[in-house]
Amino acid sequence: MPNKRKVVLRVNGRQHELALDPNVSLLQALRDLGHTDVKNGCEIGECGACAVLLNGKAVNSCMVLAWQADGAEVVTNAGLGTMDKPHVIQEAFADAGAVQCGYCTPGMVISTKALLDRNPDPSEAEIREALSGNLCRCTGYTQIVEAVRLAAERLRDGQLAVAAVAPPTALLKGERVAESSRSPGGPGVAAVAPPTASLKGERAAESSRSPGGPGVAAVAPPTASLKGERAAGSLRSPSGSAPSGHEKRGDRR
Amino acid sequence: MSLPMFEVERPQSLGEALKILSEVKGAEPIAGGTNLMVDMRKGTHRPRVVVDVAALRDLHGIEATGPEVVIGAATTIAEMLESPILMKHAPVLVLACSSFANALIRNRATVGGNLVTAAPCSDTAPALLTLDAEVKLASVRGTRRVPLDRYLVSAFSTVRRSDELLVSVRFPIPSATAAAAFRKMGLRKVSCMAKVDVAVMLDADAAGRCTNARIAIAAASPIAVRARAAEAALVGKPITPEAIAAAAGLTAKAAAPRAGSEYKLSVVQGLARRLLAEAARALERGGTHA
Ligand SMILES: Cc1cc2nc3c(=O)[nH]c(=O)nc-3n(C[C@H](O)[C@H](O)[C@H](O)COP(=O)(O)OP(=O)(O)OC[C@H]3O[C@@H](n4cnc5c(N)ncnc54)[C@H](O)[C@@H]3O)c2cc1C
Ligand code: FES
Ligand code: FES
Repeated sequence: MPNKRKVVLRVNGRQHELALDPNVSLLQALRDLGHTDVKNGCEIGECGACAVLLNGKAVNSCMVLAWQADGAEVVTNAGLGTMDKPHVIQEAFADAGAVQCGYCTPGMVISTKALLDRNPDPSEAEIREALSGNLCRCTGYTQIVEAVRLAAERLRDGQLAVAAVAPPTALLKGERVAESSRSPGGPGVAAVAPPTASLKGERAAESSRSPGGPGVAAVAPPTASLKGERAAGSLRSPSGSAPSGHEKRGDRR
Repeated sequence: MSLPMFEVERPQSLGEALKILSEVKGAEPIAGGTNLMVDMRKGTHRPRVVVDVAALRDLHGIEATGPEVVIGAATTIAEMLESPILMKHAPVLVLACSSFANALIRNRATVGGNLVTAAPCSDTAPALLTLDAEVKLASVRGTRRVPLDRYLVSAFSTVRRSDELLVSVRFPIPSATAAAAFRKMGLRKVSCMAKVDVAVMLDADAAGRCTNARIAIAAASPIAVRARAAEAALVGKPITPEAIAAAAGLTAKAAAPRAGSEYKLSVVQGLARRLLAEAARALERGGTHA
């Protein structure tokens, strides 16, 4: 038997020193630690129910081996807020009726956090693109998109409210401010993709950085809807096959 | 779904990693794990030793050095999507990355893992083919550089030997006048595997004559390929709608979809015509001396 490996994980601010088999995924390690808000929906990277922030980036914890996260900072949905002190995003999900069975919700909240950290005022297409790795079998997504919009609005209002009463330096403190003070300049998908899929050397590259580039719309039209009864119908991929399996869906029908 | 048992090696240097790959039986690299974790759970890959290459410094970074752009193999799709260097020199690759999977996968998946897996529907491969990319492979025996179109052999098959690491992907900085376009067609508008990918690049002289053309397709043949006959038909002539239509027809001839997927021939042809027209318009707008 291979030796257990020492793995240090910092989860929601608390440090854990673990001895784990080399084949334990981050998902399994987190759930074994009691972080059952991290859901196991498919274990093949398709559903996003297991999403966490790993050193600030949203990833599927089922795709990560626990030792690959050694020394890393992990934040789960419950690390953002609790029942007593919910995060603005969590409150917005409740208020918008975006939670039915709730299985997808922790992952949705994590992807929303990652989106709003970079883009405080996303369009509907940007919201749908950002959440496209998270499947929901209940809501039909409409309320989820509404929840993200609501959360974004409240976070922006929160920042304005603080700005109105606080001297500029205070803007660097406080949770809500921190939420949205990160400059939108971390070029998200929207800022990256040029106005048309046609690009003209340097000039196109220049203009692709201009704000308000219609973003991924150049690749996927703005109505980028999660058109997937099949995808949404089950947390497992319809064929159960791996994503590397080429053309798993349409070709066989 | 638990993973089969394996041992772990976490080399600190490229040299150490290559030594492990050459000496340890059943050793297999892992980068982002987005293919390997699935393959191990399905049982199609059973490494005895998993070798972590994600942390190797030699496999990271995007640099424009002299005449070429070099991308470390362990660079994630998300990092490429945000790279000012790629936005400036290879927007076609940025477009391919923006259509790749979804944000959760893009934060883990690497370009090296994508090219080593060599799935027919790889999104980076067609964009890199239009850039004349080559891969750098290293082993204890030394390093070699292989043009991407020779590196890719067939579905899930490349010229890479099992003890070789893919160290980097590199391409010459494209002409400043060239225009490119990329489109992915899949079952959803976002977050899906490609049914068809088409990438094109056109360049022209001041008189509007085509001086260089690249057309590559993926998911419509066992492996991403260049449509060389279509490229050759364009070069040396004015880029007229007729020339574009003829090249689009030749592009479909380069496709070889599986039985039952013949519809892809029309998709390839239609997309090629649209993208060539877009690139031609962009060329006109820019003009060599504009
Ligand atoms: C939900 C989902 C959606 C996906 N969508 C897309 C998509 O839209 N487009 C697309 O193209 N792909 C897609 N993929 C496939 C996958 O994400 C990509 O192929 C990815 O680029 C693989 O990179 P990785 O770092 O995760 O590879 P890994 O899983 O770490 O490795 C894959 C293989 O490559 C080997 N390897 C990795 N790095 C090296 C190296 N430097 N040298 C030698 N060998 C190496 C490994 O040993 C392994 O055999 C998707 C996968 C999932 C799970
Ligand atoms: S459980 Fe990880 S993506 Fe579904
Ligand atoms: S609320 Fe049930 S899966 Fe989304």
